[in-house]
Amino acid sequence: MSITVTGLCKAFDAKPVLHGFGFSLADGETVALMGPSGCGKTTFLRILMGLETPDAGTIEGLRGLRIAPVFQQDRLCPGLSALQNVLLVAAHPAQTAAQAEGLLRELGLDEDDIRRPAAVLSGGQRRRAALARAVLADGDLVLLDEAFKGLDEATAAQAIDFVRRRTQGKMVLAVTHSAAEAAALGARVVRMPARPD
Amino acid sequence: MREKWKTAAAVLFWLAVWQLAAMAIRQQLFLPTPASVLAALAELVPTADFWRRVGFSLARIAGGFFLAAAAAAVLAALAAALDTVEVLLRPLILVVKTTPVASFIILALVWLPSRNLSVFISFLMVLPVVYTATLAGIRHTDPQLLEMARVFRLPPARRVRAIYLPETMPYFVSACSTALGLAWKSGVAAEVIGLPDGSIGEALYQAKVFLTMPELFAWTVVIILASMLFERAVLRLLRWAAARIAGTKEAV
Repeated sequence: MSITVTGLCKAFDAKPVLHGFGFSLADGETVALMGPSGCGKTTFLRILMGLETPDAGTIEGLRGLRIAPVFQQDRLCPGLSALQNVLLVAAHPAQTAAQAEGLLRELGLDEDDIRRPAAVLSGGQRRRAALARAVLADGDLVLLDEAFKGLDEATAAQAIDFVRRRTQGKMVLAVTHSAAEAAALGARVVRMPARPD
Repeated sequence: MREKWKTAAAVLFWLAVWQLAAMAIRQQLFLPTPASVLAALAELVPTADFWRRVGFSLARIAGGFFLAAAAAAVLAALAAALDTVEVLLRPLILVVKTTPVASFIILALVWLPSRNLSVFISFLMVLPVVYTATLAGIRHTDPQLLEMARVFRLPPARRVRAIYLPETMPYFVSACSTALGLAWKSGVAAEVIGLPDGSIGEALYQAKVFLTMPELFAWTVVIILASMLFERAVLRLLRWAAARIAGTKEAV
């Protein structure tokens, strides 16, 4: 299982965002995708998720893969609790409830936080619920779009350690602006060029 | 609580205005006093005929309302999912929305027995209001959550319960609140024209024919109260359902 991207192009309103981008991700590998703002990192993740169609280029190895993303925005259902949000992606919610609760606790959420609606959780708590959801989804490819942004240093370290342990053996692609974060994830760094003019 | 007192004071103010106007006119035939209306009401309420009429009209208007609300929800869901359904329904909803209720009542009298006229008319008045709002609600569903559902490949039932229902319910409840009043107004109007035996509309018409104005006013008060109580009960039920959906344990 591996992904190979060749010559990927994408433009919005005739403005190119990706131009001939190439990339590969080996089985079980973690890659940190870095580059200046607006260079197309999120667009690339959206293409991998099937939310955008590339104008040109090929992606091999993606078909049939289960994708578990952490979006830049947490994208939790506001009326559901942290636990319910995590269980939403479980194949068998009833059998996975204890596991989901365990993941949230591992990320530092207490009993009350776990059962409170996502709408009233803090930004950091929502972020961690989104991380737990991506882990519980048990995807083949985990996509992290600035997943640790906004977390304080200690919580970010805890969350990075959580991701590193819980995604072992999976393909992980993490968009980040932090070299330290990439190093902590044990990721190979791929730098994206700035957006072509 | 403060607001309730303010509302009560406003009601008392208008009752006083009514009383003063009736005293100034001094003609019960044109404008009966609140006291004479209350007396007429006190005479009506203990009779079996009164409760039969209220039951008759309530059952039909409520029936029309619930049928329309359910149909509107289903049609809105279909229209959101299938563009063809939305396009097909567009002229139909527009016609129902803009046609005067009296035209429908007269037309329906040709097609239906007058007993069930108010069911049909309430249905017609409620359907476009709830359909339009529910469709708007579905279309305003957070696209980011829908993308999340797509990437995680959430089964359709979970998408509906966790994303569509909580996002659409406020639109549906608000439309129902508006439509409840419409159902009563149009339902009773249909009864006044169709004159089904044993309905509130028929009693209202008879009071007008026999010029028993206190009774006519009393029946009007009954319609207002019945409409208000029905609206409260239905909205309470819907809000309870919405709250359960928004934070339900069974949402997953």
